[in-house]
Amino acid sequence: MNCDESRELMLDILYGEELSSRTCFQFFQHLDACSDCSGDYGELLQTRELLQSWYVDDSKADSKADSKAVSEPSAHRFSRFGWIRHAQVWPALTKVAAGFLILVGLVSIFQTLGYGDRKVLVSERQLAEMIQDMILVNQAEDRRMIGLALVHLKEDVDLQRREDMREVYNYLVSLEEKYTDNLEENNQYLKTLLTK
Amino acid sequence: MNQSDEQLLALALGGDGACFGELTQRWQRKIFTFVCRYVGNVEEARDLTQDTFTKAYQNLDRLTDPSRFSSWLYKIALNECRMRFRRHRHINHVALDDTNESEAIEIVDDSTTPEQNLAEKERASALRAAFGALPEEQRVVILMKEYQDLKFHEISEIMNIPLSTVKSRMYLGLKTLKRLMEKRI
Repeated sequence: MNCDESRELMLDILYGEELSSRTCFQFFQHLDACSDCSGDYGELLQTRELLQSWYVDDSKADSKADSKAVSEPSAHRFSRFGWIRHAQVWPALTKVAAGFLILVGLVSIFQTLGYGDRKVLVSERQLAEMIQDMILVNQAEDRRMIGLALVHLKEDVDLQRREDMREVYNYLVSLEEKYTDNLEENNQYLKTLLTK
Repeated sequence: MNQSDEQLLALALGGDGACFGELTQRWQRKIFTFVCRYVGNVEEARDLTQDTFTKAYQNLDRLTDPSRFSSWLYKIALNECRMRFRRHRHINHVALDDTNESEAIEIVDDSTTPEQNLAEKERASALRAAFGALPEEQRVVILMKEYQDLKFHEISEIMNIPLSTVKSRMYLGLKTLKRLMEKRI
């Protein structure tokens, strides 16, 4: 993978868009080898973290929009289907719905207390959907964490590599010193031999 | 119980206004947070959210593909926001006066100390100011991706631009935002 290909994928990886694991692996492999792309990715991750501090309280949507747009959808605001029809049907529907809710509530109370066969508080489908949602959220978070961990790992490896290079350099310098010392000793020895 | 958007839409098109009410309830908060971040003002965001759903209801029969209801809704919301700014050009895109700001934006964590809370607020305020300095098309893409969790192809569909353009706006937007934030913090 080259830098252009990596940059094309960077946002997809950053936001957990659907990509094959092979592509993800190749991307992080490239990141490990390329400091430019790795720096770029780290910067984007940091910006995402910054963006998380902007919180909007969505419950404030309810106070006005709820009362107008939601509670009067059929009778007044959304008058396409005629207000008379809804004016007649709506009260009856409300009563039926209220009766149904009371019945459901009573059944749930009895089931919670141990009467009846099953204690079903959430349907299996709802449960499956909830679990699926949780898995998806976790996956996205995991990818982000893996991204962060890889960036940190790369930094550690780079640091280690620099330290290793410094050690090798010091070792070479000491070897060179030893070699020159030995050379001088050998020269002196040869000189003494020649004079003899 | 728990009908899909498509099922509710079919019922709403058949004349069941309550089903559209259900759809409104389902999408209202998401549309509100998008609009609120776009305009930076709670009251206007409420009005624009309401206008969005009214317009959606009036044009329900024009929705050709019910599976794309959410994209269609975002498209209407974005148009409403843009139209509002065409009408009131003198107002900043991201209003930053203190009253609106404090009403719209809150720091969630109660466990923090007052100093931490203040620092968080300052950071959030700097972020909003930096965000407001971005070009509108970059802001919209970031809002849709970062806060509405839309897929890139959905954003491309909503904004009617190629996928590559969405990504380049996103990339440039994030980069510019980082630079602006570094200057401000």
